[in-house]
Amino acid sequence: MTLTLILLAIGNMLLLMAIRSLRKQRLKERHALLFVAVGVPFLALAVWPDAIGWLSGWLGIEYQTVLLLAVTTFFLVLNFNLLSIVSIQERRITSLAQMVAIMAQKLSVDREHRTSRSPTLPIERDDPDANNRDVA
Amino acid sequence: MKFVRGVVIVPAYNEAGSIERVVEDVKQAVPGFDVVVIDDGSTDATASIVPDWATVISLPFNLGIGGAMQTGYRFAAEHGYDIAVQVDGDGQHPASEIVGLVETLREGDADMVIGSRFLERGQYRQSAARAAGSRVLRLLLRILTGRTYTDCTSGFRVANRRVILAFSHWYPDDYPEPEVVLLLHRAGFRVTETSVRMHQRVSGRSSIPLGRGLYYVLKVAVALLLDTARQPWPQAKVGAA
Repeated sequence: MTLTLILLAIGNMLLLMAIRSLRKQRLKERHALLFVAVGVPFLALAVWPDAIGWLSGWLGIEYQTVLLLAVTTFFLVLNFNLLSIVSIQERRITSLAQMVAIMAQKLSVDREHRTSRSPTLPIERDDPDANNRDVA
Repeated sequence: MKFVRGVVIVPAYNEAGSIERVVEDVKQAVPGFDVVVIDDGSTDATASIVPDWATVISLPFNLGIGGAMQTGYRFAAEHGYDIAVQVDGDGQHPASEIVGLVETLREGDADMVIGSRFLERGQYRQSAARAAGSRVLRLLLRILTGRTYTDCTSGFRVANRRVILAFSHWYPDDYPEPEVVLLLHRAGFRVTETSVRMHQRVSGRSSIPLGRGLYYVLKVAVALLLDTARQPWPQAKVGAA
């Protein structure tokens, strides 16, 4: 009974986390699917605790520990996949930061050029001959 | 002699105490070269201290030495420079040695020249721990390349246009110096060394504190071994030799 409750809690927690993250747009659909794929077996095990034994027999795996090893391998592969996503994103962020910094420098140079090249408009009241020219 | 456009790239992270002097010294040593300071997200006044005539590229946050250096190489690639010199912002690399490095690059057959502290014996002293770490990396590079690089951790370097293009395309993140030597060698670039003097730090903090030395050697050793399976610079991106 305790095991059933624990498995139910874990399964529900994973599914709720996936749904909540999807609603708040903090997780992409394809990543949320992973949580669903992991959460559903927990719920199935809560309802049917002998499923591991049945699955082992169906797959022809003699020892249940081997199945556990297979599940652990699945999580390791999952972790590897996530780490490679993080590495790619890190590279992209670095690249973006470099481009932003170079473009910001270029913009400031352009701005300086424009400021230094803008013609100074003559101010009429400073021109001593302005009134004479009007009369002529 | 063909006219060449050169740029000196100075990566700097919280180097307010030394950056002005470093940049002024560089301008005095190679007045024909442009100077670009890569402010790697400094929290002190590094960027504002740099003289107006030098270019400052301020990264929005700290990328580390690899990311900062690559920013400089990207700038050099975009602006058509023929030669790029790497000089640390902490004052360890004497600007007077730049001319020698550039001459070695232009006269020799090299694509990149490393300024070595250890090519001439007894020129530079380092702690026993650092010396042991350097020896391990030197040995590993010797096994992997078949060549002896006496100072593969030196960041005092000069590169030609092909290397500038390669680095703007890809550059290692952490502690990049030894990795760059191996990867350039594997990609068919010619890397040589020339003897230089180096100062002790003027101010600021070393990127590799002594306590992290062991981690540094292990990390770089593993990275070097992994690099034997890497080819980050395809000919299509950097052109034929």
